[in-house]
Amino acid sequence: MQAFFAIDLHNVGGPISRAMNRILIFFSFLTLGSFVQAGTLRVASLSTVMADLAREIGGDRVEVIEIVKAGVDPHIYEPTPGDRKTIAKSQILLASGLGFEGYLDNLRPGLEKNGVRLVVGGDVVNPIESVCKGEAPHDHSHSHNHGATDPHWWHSIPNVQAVAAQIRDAFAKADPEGIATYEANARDLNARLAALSKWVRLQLATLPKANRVLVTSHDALGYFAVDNGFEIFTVQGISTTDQPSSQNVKRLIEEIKVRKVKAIFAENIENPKVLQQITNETGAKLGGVLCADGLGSGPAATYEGMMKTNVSIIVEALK
Amino acid sequence: MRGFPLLRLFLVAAGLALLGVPVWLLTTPSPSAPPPASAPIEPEKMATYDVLLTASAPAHLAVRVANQPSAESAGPASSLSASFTMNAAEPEDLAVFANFDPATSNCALRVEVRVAGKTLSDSTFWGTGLVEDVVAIPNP
Repeated sequence: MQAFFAIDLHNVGGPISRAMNRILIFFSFLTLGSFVQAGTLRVASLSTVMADLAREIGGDRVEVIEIVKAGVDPHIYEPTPGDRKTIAKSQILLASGLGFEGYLDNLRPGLEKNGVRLVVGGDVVNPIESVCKGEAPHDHSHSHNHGATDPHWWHSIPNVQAVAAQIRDAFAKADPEGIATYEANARDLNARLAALSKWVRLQLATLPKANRVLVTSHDALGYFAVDNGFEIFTVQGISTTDQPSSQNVKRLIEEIKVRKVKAIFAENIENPKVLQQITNETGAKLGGVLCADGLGSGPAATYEGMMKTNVSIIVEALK
Repeated sequence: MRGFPLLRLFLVAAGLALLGVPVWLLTTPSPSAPPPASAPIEPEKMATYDVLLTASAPAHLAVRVANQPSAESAGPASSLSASFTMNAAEPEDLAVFANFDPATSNCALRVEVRVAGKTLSDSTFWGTGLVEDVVAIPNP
């Protein structure tokens, strides 16, 4: 309305009216801008990986708010009252699922009350059981509610493609006017993920199969191991809150010696103290720091970057 | 009881010892040897894998295997054959490459893997320009 009013004034003539005209045009654009801002889809994310997918698919139509940020240990994270308010103001909440966010059930009543749609990635992936071999039996009664199912599904690219499609559909449902944008962006992302999958296979083809043994802090890379033919041994269980037992560490040291494992890996949110102790006793080197529970920083700040960083570190250390 | 301090001392010591048993059981490491490493590694059974790359148009062809020298065509070629000796129980993957003239569309690269004349795998990859992929070899 204001835009049309401004154009009508343009015909009036005179320097004063021209100046008023320009001011009105300026305010008209501001008003239109605020309408566009109000029209964006507000998406809160408890997962750094899903936040990245949401940005890729949503583009300018979506405002993504990362509740759990890169570098934060999601295993020990609990939402603050401020986080709950931010989530309540959103239209969509993204969560990894499969027990990764132990507090999710506590959030559900608030989501229903505020009309926030919950999108759980774990609902559309092919879940696997914990596959690590070095892990001691651990207590499943801790607050993060992991079952035997491995919740770290993003280390399998086909799973990420499935979740990207799920996010596209959720955005299209919440904002039907943006369907064309969401579909085009999701198609582009899917093609890039397929290219990433081939890149990963080509990199790993240079790694002898006998060397495909991953020793990590906690059991987060099971999906990667299954997809790419790795055996996995971990100090802790599936959660960073699981404590390593001395028996488990002893078994791990034996395994590393028998298999002549060249390198073991720390994680971006972990204290690698126990791993350093293991390297001292086995002679294996510390191969680098992997992003396990979500995205990292720098080149690993995007999903594609994270996968490339992890694979490059693994190949370089185990070759 | 009051008149037998030695008996009292004995009873107190015995009580303390009994209380200490569960603590001792929980804190003492198991005397058993460390558990054996899982999955003993089998001795390698070597086999020779013959690989044949066939291109739909002349291309620079290459095949790479972990820990072995790669085979490459000297220039654009329609085919390339190479042999690799690998552990038959766990053969390595093949990384195959065909660099076609970018002006040629719908190029194909066929990769055939044989052991003692028997075809183990036969795959074809399509693309334009650089066609590259990984071939996983099944056990014979």
